[in-house]
Amino acid sequence: MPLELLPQNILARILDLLPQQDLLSLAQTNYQFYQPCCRKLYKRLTVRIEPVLQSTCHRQNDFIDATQTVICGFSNAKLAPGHHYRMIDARLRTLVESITVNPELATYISELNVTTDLQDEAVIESLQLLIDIVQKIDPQIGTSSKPSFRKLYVKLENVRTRLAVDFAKWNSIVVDNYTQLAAAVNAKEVVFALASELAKKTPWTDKIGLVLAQLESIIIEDASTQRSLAQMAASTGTVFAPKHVSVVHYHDIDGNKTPTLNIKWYNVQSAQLILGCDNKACNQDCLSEFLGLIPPTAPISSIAIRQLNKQKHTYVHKFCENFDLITFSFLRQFSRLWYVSIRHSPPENGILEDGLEGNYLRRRKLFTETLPDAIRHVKKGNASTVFAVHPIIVFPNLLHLFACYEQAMNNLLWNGCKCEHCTPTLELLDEFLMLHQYYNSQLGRLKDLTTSQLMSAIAGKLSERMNPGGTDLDIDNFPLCKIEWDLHTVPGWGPFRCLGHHVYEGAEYDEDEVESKHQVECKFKNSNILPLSAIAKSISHYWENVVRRMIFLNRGDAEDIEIGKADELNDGGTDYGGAPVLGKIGLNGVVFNLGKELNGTNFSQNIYDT
Amino acid sequence: MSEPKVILVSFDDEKFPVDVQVAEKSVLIKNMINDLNPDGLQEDFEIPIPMLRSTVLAKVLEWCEHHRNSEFPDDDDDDAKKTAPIDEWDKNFLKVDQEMLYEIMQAANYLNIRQLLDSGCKTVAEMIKNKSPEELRRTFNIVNDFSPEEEAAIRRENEWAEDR
Repeated sequence: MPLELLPQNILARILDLLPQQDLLSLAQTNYQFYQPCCRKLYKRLTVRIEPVLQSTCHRQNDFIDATQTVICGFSNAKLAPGHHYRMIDARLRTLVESITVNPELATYISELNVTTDLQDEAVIESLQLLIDIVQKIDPQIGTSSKPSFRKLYVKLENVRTRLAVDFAKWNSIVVDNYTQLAAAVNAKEVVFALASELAKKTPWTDKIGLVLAQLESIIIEDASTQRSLAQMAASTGTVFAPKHVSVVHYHDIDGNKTPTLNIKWYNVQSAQLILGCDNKACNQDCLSEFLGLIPPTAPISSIAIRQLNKQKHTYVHKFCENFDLITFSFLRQFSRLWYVSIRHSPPENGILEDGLEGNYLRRRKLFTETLPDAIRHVKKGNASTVFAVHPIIVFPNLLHLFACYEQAMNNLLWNGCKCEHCTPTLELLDEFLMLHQYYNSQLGRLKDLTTSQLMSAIAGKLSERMNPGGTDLDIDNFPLCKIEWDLHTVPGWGPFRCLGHHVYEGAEYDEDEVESKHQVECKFKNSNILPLSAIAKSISHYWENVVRRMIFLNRGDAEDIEIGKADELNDGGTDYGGAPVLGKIGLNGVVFNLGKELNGTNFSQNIYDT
Repeated sequence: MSEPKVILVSFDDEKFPVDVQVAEKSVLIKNMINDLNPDGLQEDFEIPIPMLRSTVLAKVLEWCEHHRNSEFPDDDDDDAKKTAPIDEWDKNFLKVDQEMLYEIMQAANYLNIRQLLDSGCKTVAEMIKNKSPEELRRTFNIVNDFSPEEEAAIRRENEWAEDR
């Protein structure tokens, strides 16, 4: 039987697992494939500058690239932004043209995400054309089990304000004010961005009440938005019963807490919790109180936690460790988790007051032992059956967290992996370190770079690979971004300054330096000497050791001579009665698939950075 | 006394006695057992599966037997867990010729064994990936029914999604 004769529903499932380039190829082979391939190709569109990061793994077994059709710039990410914008513009216009010729294509579109900044009027114009034409053509009526659904997600406010949107046409939409909310009469999911509404006294209208009552998904990502919505909801006694939710709990230094929304948790399947306590007297006690509102019986299968701390006094090891202990024990209560993401808020420049090696080892253990144990499904319930889901864990910025432990980072750089790739790469990084300074805002002057700042900056860039169109719950629903880095610009804090000579040759670090007038020739600038992909590969080798600990391969990849026998303690294999290990782990932009060999031994597979 | 068995009968009349726990990996069979035996199985229960050849049924049951202790989530969300890699055991189990693979997938579809169907789909998706249209036609014996003009038109229509 040929492939094309498989029943339509099976074929659709297969096509759902294919990245865009493969859909294009298959669509050209035979008429039977053309329409189903187009259906998948147009289903979820993401507009962004960055191309899709391609897997380097020979044994490909990952399906994240199939989650979106990406409308991006050139695959050579190093080109100037103008080039990428022209490419995106050309793609959008061709897409609009194709839909104009064949309007059926627009009926396939169920998602349109814009996840990057678009500082180009031509691109905004063509994006507007696309939005207009999609709004004119209704989506196909979905199956009875899954009605048609249309999502428009524009991540950045400065892009949203330049677009004209008919809010009634979308089932999922971002609203910046209550007028837009009232207009979103068909919304099932709303991303609230109401920060600017707080000062206004917006009167409650029935229209707003109607929209709020029908929401299945409520996404709030900042404290002031939640305050605004909570005030409005409290005045009318609104109770929310969403399936998907993102809420904030923030306790500020003056003792003010974000008001909570009245949520019925018995319905919630996925939750993003943005948590932070900067109040010295409270010392994070409020976090447990807040988490206590969420009953362990809630049918939650996905949880994303985002730490929200802004005050310097929280940048000590003990405080950070305590945050992990509180959140991990919260996770332990849920027996059906298949997706967990935790994003921390470490000090931007990587300076933790007591980032000592012992503390690093304690912290690492929390991630390699405590957390996997907390979400491993075998611990609870009937021992004879195992909940056969391999959970996905994502730590979008864990390297940034570990970067705060300077000795551990020194170890990585100077005593790290000695493979053919890492030896020269780490040497170059070391040389970079010697040739650069950074601006320390607390001291108000330039300081010599330490591995902590260097690794924090690397972590920041690698973390940009994971840029979902939505909350951290969606990280696994968006193909990774291919990111380039000039090694000097650092988002969040000032650029690295080139010295032109090794730090130890010049006047020493405590001198009051001012920005030097002359430009220093830096060999790392604008060259391919040290691309981010090469750094990522070395970082991934560091992660390999961390991942091995998580899956009990404590002796490297060495295996027992007697493999697979019952009651035999195989490395990584039988410790948990052959229970499923974690399925996949995303470590700050570096991804490993995990699994079990046929003989029962656990294994990990580096997907993008081999 | 031993537990009552479910006896599945293939198209070619071969009988496969299996434990209830194994048979119930198929949601179709599970519902049949529950509907027709509201008080639980008292004696052996025969279910004809005329759609399936014995070789295919044997293979499907081998999968069910291996996963007998696994509890799969019932989920209504098709998108969930999609990006997870194929289970190594399943991957190895599905190393069969294309004909057999499609038959197993159709059987999983008919019997409603979602995880087996998913593994099958992922296996086929892996076979499709990274091939040109010509390579795809060769691998899967697909007949090109497009004229050169039509082929060019399709390429043009979807040009916006090409790698550049």
